[in-house]
Amino acid sequence: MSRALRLLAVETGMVLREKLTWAVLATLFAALLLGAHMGAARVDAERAALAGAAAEEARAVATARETFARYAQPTPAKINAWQDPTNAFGYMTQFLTVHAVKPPSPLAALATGQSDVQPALVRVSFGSSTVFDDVAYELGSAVRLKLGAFDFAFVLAVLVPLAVIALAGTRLSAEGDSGTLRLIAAQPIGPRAVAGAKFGAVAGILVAAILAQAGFALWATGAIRSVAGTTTTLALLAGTLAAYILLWVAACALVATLWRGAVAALSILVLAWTLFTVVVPAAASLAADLLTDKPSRIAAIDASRQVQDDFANGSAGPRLTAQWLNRIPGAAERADLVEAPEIKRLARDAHYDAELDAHRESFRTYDRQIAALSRWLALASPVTTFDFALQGAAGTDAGRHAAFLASAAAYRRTLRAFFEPRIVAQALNPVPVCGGCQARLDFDAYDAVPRFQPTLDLDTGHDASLRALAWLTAVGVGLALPAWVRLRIWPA
Amino acid sequence: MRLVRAELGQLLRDARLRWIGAVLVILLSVALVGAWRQAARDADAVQRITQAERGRWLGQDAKNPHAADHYGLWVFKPSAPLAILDPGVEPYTGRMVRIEAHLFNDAVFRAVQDANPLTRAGLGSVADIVQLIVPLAVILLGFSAFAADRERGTLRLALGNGAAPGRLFTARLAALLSALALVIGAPLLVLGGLAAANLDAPGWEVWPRLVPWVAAQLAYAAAFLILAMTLSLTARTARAALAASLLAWVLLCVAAPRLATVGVEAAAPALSYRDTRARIDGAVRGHRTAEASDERAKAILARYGVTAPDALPVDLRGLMSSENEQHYFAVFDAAFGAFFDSLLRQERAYAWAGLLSPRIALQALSATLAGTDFPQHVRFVWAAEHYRRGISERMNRAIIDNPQGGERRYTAGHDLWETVPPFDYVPMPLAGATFAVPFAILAAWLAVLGGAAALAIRRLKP
Repeated sequence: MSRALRLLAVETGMVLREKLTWAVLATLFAALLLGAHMGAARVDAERAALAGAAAEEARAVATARETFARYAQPTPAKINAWQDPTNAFGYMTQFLTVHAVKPPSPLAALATGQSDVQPALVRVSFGSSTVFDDVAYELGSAVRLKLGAFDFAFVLAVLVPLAVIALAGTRLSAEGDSGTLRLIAAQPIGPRAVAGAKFGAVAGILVAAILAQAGFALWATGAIRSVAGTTTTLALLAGTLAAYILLWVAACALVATLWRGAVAALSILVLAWTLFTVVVPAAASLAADLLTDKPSRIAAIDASRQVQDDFANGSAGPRLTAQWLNRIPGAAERADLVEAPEIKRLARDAHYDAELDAHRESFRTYDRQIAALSRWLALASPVTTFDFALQGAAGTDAGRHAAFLASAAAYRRTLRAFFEPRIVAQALNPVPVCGGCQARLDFDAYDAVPRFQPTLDLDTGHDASLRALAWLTAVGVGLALPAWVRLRIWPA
Repeated sequence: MRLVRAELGQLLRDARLRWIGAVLVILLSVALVGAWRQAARDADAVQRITQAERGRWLGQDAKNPHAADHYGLWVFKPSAPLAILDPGVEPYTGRMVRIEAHLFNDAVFRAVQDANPLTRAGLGSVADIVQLIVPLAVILLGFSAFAADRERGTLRLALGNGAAPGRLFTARLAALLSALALVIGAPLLVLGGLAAANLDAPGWEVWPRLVPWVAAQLAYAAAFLILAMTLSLTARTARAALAASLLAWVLLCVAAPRLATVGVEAAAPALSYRDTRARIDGAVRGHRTAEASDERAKAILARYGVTAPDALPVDLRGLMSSENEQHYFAVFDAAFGAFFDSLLRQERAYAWAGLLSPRIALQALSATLAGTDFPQHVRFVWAAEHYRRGISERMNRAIIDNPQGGERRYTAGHDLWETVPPFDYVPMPLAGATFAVPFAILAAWLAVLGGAAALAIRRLKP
């Protein structure tokens, strides 16, 4: 045992004296700092966007209140419903400025995930073109999205394995090429002890250095400002990162036991990296698409237009409006209301919602299913396993977004439930307004409009990290075991 | 030529080429066939709903034209036929626009929005394979070109027998390039041509785009081949040549594209979409107040020298609606004009970022040649907006020419709906595309690498 430790110490010293070690670690450190900085900048931008949206909401309420005060005076100017925030219908359809928001999680800087293609901020409106829950998006550089973000997750999941391959990829096989392996084999020492020392030294240095670098980068760039409530997840992620590094070291060891020389070892490892970084995810993506039934946006739009067409043309509109009115106590006998624009609009929207609900639900179901399935399929590659763990911890994963869209849709229903009785009550019994006033002056409950309540489930990140840690450890052991078995004797 | 034939014969006997070639052909074929089937399905769906939308527009009941303007329709962006080879930015941009009164709607429903979360991690298209995997394949074929001979001592023998290093290099390069043309160029040209020809794509200039597109991919592969062979010329061992080539590949193909996003965002920031929308909302809202409308109505009456709307020879609401739209058009032109200009400036900056890596240069050139670049999207957005404005102006004109008032209510019917032509999007012609910068940069990469190779040949030591 003491000999093994001595060997490990000697190897560690040798690895630390290599210029390549310091070059690789310095490059990785720079990349981690940049990745953490970019993550912090993204999170700051997201927070600024949320603050901007909140300010926009406050401004809209202030403007509505100021308009109410102005319109409460007699005026000769005609005020149309679409110009009138003093009326529940006018306010709901033209002036309401509210958002469903997905605030960044405390660990959001770790991974961009889906956050650059899926909106974290959805303005909830009652415009006629709202066919789906997720029409909103922040249009920006499409080329940037195509190239992908240089974020912390990219450095850890994609570049770290290359650093491992650079330092551990040709251990043993380089000695084989240079002939020193024969000299070593001639000593009274087994291949397991030699390989253990060589790969153990690299593993120890890499795990310690990368964990320290990653932690320092996150702290120095302000990417993580508070660890409250996330310490367990962070600890699990640190363990997952260590397991990920060890897995790639084990892969290097296994390839070394093929005894094919450094060129072959390097080629195999880089091909394996390519396979698990881009080819397997592509195959998993293909499998995900084959295993789920993706609803068609075009078919849903066609359906929405059919419903719109049915309501707008022919006799269906008045009939459906009358049916909708019949549900309201005291409204059935008011035939004049069938032609009231606000009643027609409410009846129309209710009809749209009922008719298109199956389509909307099919998209929600798909979003949930694809997020769950992708989590499992990601296990096909250690790269995506680790990347998904980081996304889960960062709260930028597809699952959280699917939940967010569903809650945004529920919020829209809450808003409708808030406004609908007020609009109907006003239609049934219009409140009297001041003499000479042109506005309706029946609504000023701007502060009572329900607010969106964002949620953040920190357990998701915890579970994702735990799953990844367990799986990467198992795969790492699965790679190390055959290497251990093959290292029973020196090659002939 | 004899030397090239000899090198080619030797290369064709190499198992590495057969394996690499087979894997590449399989990967390219799977990606291409999948994209082809998806494109055919999408084109069919778009054609069906476009016809249905046209039918719905023409089949509207008689109604006030302003109601018809609000009823509107959806228009769809036709996908470039070469998107099956390189979808460019198409998955990241909206595909359909709701055309309706008053609103400059976003092009919505980006393919990436509906894609599963694994999609962006993997290889999504033929272009991704060419840009990432082909350089690796080329490196694995080319790294040993001279270094292995040097290690074995056969390079000393060859040079000792009077083989000129330059001729040797050229012959090996030509042989490898021929092999690449066979395993990459031929499948892309044949399968891509077949698929593109089968997709109904008027105005897309499929062949004039496809041939230079394939040539650009081969030029890119040639750049990495020259790089690998140059490193092979200078490296003492095959292992060193391979390590250096792989390092270059990681830097140029894996890290540089993402690093470019950091640099370009800092050097050429684009305007914020949210701020742009907020500016538009502010300008529109101020114009829509009751007081502002009242002032404009009074101004129109004064312009015509009357005091009551009924005395006007035209319809007051129609005229006001038309003038409002002109105001909104000016607001949209200014705000979205500046916004899209900033994005296009950023796009051009990304093309210059090709100086960091030939992969970035190829991405820009390839998408432009395929017709899947951002300027094509911007052209579609404005085409849809101009179509929307055409409908609004036509509907408003009909209202203006048919004054309402008192008991008079104006409704229009099929005759008016029919005056609106179908949306006919004409893609940006290849001649109008801006590919000079990425083309020049890719050519510069080839020239620099060629120069480095010439230098290495001159200094070649056995």
